[in-house]
Amino acid sequence: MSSSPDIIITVDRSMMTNHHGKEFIGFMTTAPPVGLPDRIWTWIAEPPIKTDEKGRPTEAPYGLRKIEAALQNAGFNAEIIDPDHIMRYVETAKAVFIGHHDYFGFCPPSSEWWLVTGEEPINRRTFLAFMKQVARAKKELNPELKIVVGGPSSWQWLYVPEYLREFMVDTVVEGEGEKAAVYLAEKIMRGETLPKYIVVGPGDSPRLDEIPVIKAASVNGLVEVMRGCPRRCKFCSVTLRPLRFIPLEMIEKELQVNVRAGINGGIIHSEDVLLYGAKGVIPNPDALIKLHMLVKKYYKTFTWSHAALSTVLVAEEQFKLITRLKEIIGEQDYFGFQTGIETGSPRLAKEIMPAKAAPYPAEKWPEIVEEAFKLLHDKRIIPAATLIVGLPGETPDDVVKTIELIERLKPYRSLIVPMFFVPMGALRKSDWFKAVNVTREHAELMLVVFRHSVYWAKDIVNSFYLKKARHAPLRFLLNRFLGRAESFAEKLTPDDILMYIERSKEKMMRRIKQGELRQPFYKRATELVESILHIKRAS
Amino acid sequence: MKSTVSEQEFPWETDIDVVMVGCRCDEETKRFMEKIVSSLIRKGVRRLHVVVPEGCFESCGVKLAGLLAQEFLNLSVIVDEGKLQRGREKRIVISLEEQRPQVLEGGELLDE
Repeated sequence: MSSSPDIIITVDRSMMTNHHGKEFIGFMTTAPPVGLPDRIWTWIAEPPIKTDEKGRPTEAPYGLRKIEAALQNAGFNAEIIDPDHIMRYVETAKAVFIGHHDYFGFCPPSSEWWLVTGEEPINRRTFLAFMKQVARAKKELNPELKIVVGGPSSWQWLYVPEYLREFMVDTVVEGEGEKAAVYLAEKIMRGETLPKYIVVGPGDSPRLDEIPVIKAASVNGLVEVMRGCPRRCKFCSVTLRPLRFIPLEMIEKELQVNVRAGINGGIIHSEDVLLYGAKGVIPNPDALIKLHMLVKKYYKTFTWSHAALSTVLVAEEQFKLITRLKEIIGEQDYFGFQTGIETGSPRLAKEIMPAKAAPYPAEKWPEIVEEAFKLLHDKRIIPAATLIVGLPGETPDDVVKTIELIERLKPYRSLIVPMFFVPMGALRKSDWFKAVNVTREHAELMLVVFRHSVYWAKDIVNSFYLKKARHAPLRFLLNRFLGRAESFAEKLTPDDILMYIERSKEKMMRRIKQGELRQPFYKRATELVESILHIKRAS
Repeated sequence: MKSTVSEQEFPWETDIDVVMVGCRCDEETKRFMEKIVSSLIRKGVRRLHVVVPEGCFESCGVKLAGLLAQEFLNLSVIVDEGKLQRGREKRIVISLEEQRPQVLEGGELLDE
């Protein structure tokens, strides 16, 4: 590998960070600073990652690592470079490849925080500042530089096409990117014109033998064990992709890559980890036990990224599998995963996610959620669950049923986050938030969820997630924030929530009318670029 | 061993080119394109190459790309801007310049 990469793979700081080794702290990048000064919030949420002398991060987002491996396997001089170091290479590079999971803050929960506070979330601000820097470098230093954007949120570029021009983006790639990245790199090296947009449809997703093994460490030791999901929920695109189980040998190679980089804990990633090796929706105990024993061989501690509550329940009921897997995992400070409750209404569950409850009937969804939460609480496993609010066809009665379910979940240690359904068409407009209709029932639900999550967040931070002495500074800051949030939640009413959201919408409308909505982050972007250039000049 | 040439080379070897001539970014164009893409999908096309006029990607190209990606979830698409680089046996040329969008070439590839 020469000293200067032809293809720089990178992303802004909100993604190129390990959040102090605590993946869940990453959620703080989806909000604007609340109750803490900007700098402290940013330090907690997105601290810089260690780099080597070339500016290569010691850990990088897993998706970028896959693209890096695909390009290197195809013979390209491509490397992941930390965003603070890309200026060293842009003048001579041929392309910058960027991947992100929420470019403009349109995904939940960023859009919720934006709606409730009227302030742009940190991830959006950081990304826009970063792109300003990349575009300026292209304009002033290397006009031939190609900019390619991809990743799970690349669809967002189509809703803000003015940024394609402003940031001089050449190509947008949607879908699984390994093959498309190589195709584009070949065209770039041959000096050919690039397509503006590529969608890799589910039918053209890479086969198992086309998915490369990462070559350097992933953020927080994340390793993918499966792609796709068989549940076919209407709101999810992952479910359209073919189901592929990553073989244990390949998983082992990636674990070894991370361990060699000094990472001894991590996350095993899948849309539903407990379906690894399964036929249909009944877990495969043998495959899961082998998987967990393999991961335990390399990682002292690890968690699952996602699992469905119905899989949790059937795994324990039929095979005592949660108990057996917990025995393999052993004692650790924290074990948790993300999951979807989405609704407490059996009617709506049947309508939008008829197979999420399987092998149980969709009508039993609220009972499944409750039983699974109880089981997880007993096993000291902490779910972080989402709700989808405002779906087309949702009735006030559906929301009331969700409120009742959340109230029944109160005894169980968990975090719950509501996500507002935003119609895709609305995102094309700067006043997208007007399309989000928050009813009184929604406000009541938000209040119940807020109180639940603040109550359990304190317990989780102090007794599980950040209980070690070395976490004291972070623990102190988060307790300060949570203390304020708890006092605030005690006095809050549904009417207050409705008023806050209306004020927030008015605030955003005022800023749009005055042409200010985009200005604050440009100001910050300019300041950031100036500070980076100042640091470079000083060094 | 990969089974077919198209499988080996995709997304770079698509099934059909849809070339748009002129520029007309309106709802009628969108509906027209939706009809054409539906027809192609019914005929088994899964990999589309769309060429939009120079400078049009941000307007009609985005509209079309968004439409294609979101309405037809199993489709693979490449959108190019400018002129079609090389001729292809299977291509549909759509004029957007007249009073209403119309198929100029390749109509036989569509349903009745």
